[in-house]
Amino acid sequence: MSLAAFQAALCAMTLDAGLAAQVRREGEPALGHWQLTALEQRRLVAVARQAGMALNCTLARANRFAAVHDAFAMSCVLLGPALRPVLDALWSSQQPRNYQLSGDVERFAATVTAQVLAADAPDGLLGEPQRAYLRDVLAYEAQAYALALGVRHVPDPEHANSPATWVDFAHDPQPLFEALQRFVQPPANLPLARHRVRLALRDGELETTIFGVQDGPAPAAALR
Amino acid sequence: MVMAQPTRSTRSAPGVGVLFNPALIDFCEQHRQALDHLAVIPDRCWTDPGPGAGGRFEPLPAPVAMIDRVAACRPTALHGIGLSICSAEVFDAAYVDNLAHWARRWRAPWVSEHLSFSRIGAAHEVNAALALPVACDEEMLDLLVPRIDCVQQRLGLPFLLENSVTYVNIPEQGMGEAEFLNRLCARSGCSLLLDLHNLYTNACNLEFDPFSFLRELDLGHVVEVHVAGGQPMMGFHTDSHTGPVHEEVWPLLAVLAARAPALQAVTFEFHESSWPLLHTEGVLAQLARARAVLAAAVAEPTFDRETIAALAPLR
Repeated sequence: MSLAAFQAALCAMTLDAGLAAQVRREGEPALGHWQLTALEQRRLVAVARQAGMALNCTLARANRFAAVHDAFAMSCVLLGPALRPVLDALWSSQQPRNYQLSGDVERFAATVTAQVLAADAPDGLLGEPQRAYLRDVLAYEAQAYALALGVRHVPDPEHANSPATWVDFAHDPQPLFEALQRFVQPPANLPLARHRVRLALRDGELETTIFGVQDGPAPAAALR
Repeated sequence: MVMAQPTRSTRSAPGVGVLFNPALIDFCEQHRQALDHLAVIPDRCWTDPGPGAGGRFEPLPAPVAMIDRVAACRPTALHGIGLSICSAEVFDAAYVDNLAHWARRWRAPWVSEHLSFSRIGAAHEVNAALALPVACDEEMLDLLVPRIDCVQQRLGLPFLLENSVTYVNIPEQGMGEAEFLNRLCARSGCSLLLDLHNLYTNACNLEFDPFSFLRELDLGHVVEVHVAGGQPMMGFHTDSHTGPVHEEVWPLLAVLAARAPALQAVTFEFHESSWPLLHTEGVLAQLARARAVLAAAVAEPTFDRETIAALAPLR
């Protein structure tokens, strides 16, 4: 069991940079949670005290973040400095359970909602109007992600089509999307203007059509 | 069980191919003449919530169809990423059986995996989200040899293990990595997938001479080679598979190819996010360069120390 304990400790240090820093500072006493031989303790402390351990922690976080960012790129931009505490909350609540790192993407929206958007969310993490923008963009990206996941389950993804789904926006999505897709914050003074966004797969690509509510059925803009 | 090692007819150059990613679907069909083989990551073709969870290895029709198409073009080797064969508490025979299923479907000449661990815990697994290094010692050899035997029996195919990249140096290991790999292959009968960019990355970051490593390694075990690029990060050279093959990797390939009689395949790997850096022309250029290096190595296999030194001003 000792090798198992060694690997568990190295894994824990990789997933928790705070633990790695503690082992770096305190040495063997910080490893008391695991039943390790003296050699394994020396090895772990030596590893923790190398600069490469910080890189390991960063790479593990980057690997976990990649899938989240792929699905929620615009929400991540809107979160700005609030992204880090959201990710900390997400990742501290559950370690990866499998090598495909599944689950983080699905739990990201729930964590953002609890940490930032809920009525009882901590004040100060995100101000207005970003919170209002985020509420709609997050819902939009969650729907887009669900459609993209569905494509994996059809044998001919280049010709995949889907029924339309809808997301309501409190502001015009066009300037929101234009800014966020350039990885910059959108204008802070967008007027309230209800819109509906239709998402659907057309020949394997996500088709987004924006409707101004006052416009009736004619789309205000179509994006692919 | 010792599998018959793949062999190459005398003095013919090894084949050249790519590790498939979704950016290459059109490339593989339009430029099949540039490819002698493909390698694929089969784990992209299924969902796997892990042992103990329902619905393991549920196939994903879209990526399966993609690999069915490319595997019809050229011999296709499997390069798994989920076995974590060095995990003390985890040996996932069901995962191996699933690999065997897909290897039969795509008529793979061999299957490769990584000499590292990411999975811990017997009942409730945790994943490190990163392939972590192991110590080169007797304990790890004793763990691996029976497992490799089991894998080879279940696969019925040659099984290759890939040298891992590491950014930390585990002290008091008992033997160097080359000796460890030599003993592992001799005892288990497995072969090697030698990732030359991993070797270069480790040599850079841990400050050793990669050519000395090649001299110490029994190159008769090397069946496949990976070549790739990387980038600097936090003061390290990282194995990010960014863009073209790192310049310092080519001299390593030249030296290796001249002395590796079982070498069958040189595989260029890049992350799909690098496709805009490469495009079709960039990938073709890497394949052509690999062919040129291999042809020269086969034609003139007598690299001496001076030649190696001239090829490789590493630092």
